[in-house]
Amino acid sequence: MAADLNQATDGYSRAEIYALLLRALRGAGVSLGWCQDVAQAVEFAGTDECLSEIAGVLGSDWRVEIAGPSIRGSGLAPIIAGCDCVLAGDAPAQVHGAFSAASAAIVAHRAATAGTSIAVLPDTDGVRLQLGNALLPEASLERFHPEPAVLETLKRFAHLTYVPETEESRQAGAGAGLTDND
Amino acid sequence: MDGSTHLPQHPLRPASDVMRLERLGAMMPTRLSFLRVLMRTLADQNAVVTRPVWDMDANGFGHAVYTLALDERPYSLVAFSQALSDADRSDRVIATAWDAAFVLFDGVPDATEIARLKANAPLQEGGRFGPRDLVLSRANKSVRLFAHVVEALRAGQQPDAQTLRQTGYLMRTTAVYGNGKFGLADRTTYCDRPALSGPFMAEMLAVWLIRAFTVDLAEHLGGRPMERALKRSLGVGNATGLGMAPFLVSHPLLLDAWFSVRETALARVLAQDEISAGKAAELRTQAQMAAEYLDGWKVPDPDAAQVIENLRGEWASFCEELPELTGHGALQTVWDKAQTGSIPLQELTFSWLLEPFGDLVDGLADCLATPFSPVLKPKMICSEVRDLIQSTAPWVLNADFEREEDQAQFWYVSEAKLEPRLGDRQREPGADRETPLDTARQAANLMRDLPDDDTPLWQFLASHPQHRAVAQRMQALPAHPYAEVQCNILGREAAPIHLLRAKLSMFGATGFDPKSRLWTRVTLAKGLPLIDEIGTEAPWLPT
Repeated sequence: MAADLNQATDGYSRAEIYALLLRALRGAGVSLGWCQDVAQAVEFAGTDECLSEIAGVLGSDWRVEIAGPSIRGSGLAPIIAGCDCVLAGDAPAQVHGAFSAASAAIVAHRAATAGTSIAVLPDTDGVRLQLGNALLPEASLERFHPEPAVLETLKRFAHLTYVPETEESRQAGAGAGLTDND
Repeated sequence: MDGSTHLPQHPLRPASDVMRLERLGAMMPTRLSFLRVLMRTLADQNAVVTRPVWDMDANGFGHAVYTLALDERPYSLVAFSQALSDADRSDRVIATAWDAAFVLFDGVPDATEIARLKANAPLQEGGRFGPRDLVLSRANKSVRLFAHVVEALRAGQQPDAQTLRQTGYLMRTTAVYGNGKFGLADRTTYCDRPALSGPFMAEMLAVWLIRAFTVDLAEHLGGRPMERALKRSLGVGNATGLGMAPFLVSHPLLLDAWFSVRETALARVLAQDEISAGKAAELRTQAQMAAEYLDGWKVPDPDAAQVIENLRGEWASFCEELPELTGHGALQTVWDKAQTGSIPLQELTFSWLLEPFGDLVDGLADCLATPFSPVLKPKMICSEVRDLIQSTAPWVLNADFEREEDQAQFWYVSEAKLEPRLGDRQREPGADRETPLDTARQAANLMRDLPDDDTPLWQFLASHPQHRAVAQRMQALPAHPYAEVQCNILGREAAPIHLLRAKLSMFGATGFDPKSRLWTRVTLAKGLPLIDEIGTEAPWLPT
């Protein structure tokens, strides 16, 4: 039996949550690059609240619409594109929609990997991102303690990336025999 | 790359040569392999291993604790031994029980911690672990050799040296988990401790201590100690399957760090126009050691046996024709001569040339780790990305993904045991849930869609997010040329065993014994100092 994440007594490691998120996002049909951006961001700076938010947007269609500095869309794609826009140096980006804990983690991670800081300012119907004027973010080492229902949702989507076993795959897919006495 | 960056060095070998699958599949351990790095760290820190707990019954079942201090912090290997029927003894991840289970613990565990680990460690993937548990592993006995050793010791004799050397281990680990798996400590929580900062250092420390446990257990059951030389001839076996291969694809910048270090080491060695008589003598001694190692390297697989046999012959000829090694440009001459031979000969020569020159290469070990992943450069324009791929990754354009042959295989994770597996796309279901290790295909698809104009990449990716992951991988290549295994991993001829050989060589594994194109047995820590021999010489290859 695989480990049951609900049995954790000491929380979940950040690497473990990274792997679960990456798989859950892939299972939800999110493009790999966005999956990596989100999973790396949560591993770097995310909180339990992030996991709840991400679990809530797994079923949605992630997309981005860009009109000049104005960025709209769904899922966490707009905040990722907003960071791209700012880090490309084009201009401050206006990202429409709610700015969530997961959004904050994404901004922190992108800023840290770029070796800069990104300021997040309130704006009409969302936030404005611009370079500088914020502390360089640091990685969190805290363990996660997500709600069981959130974990179940993440696991359900992650499960969609697994391939059901056949006797052939069990015997041949990994190459080795089933018993090993020498 | 380290504090002595101004050492002269030759140009590095190009990634197009180094990162070929065929070459990776011929790699040999070097003095930069992680186990060797660990041995130097233990020696530098004057580490002392103790065994404060040995609670084993007459059948060898119970638990033990081994403890040592590094960076003035204690670490403990907690080992559990239990009864296991022959029918349950499997090296596959699908197994559910093992002869022994291990946890490398951050500190010295008290009775409560040991009880917690006792309840979880034997369950392995079914257990839960915490932030003080650094590494989780398990092992099965090599039944015949273990029985031979115990019977010999009980009879008042020593086990047969040749039999020991041939198998090389009393137990095989079948997984060594770290970095947060199943709740273990994240690597980020201990990677700033100097002794554990290198890649897989905690895992290697666990393996080296497990080796001590396997010998102690045999001596416990045999009722008397083994001779020291015999103990040293034993390592820890390892059965490695597909699970190890995806790691190399999913950690491109770490791969680049490993190979940049190796290639820089060679470049520094070859930059010496002359070497001393002492170094020349050491090279000749190591050449003889390699010959002895090759003589003892016997495997049942006929194809692998033939490769080893050919290498044995090539190495003998190569050594016979070695020039005077103290002459001007001798090392370059030797290296050039190796290039006229097979790839296995070239890779053996590579490892051999590094061996006497710890003063030039050991400091590079500090550069083997990296916390980074590829980062998108959003400002780059699309035409520049196209040029970059064509100039730094032409190999991604070689495959034709309309051809069945070029995407014959697909990687996936099985639902039942979450085990990486390889499927046949034409015959097996599941390709719609393929694990995205297909860097070449992704890059080819990116090239198909990428406009040859000045659109900023980030704007293109907003409407083509399916290309985001591979775009940033490709952007990393100019600064990280060794980041990619330069092959189409989906192609029918792409054998995963080559990836396993590369990673295991980085660990310092010896005695590669491939069982198919999908998995291999190896030995770890064979020939290395025992736990009461820290500071003594760690040989390049076990003989």
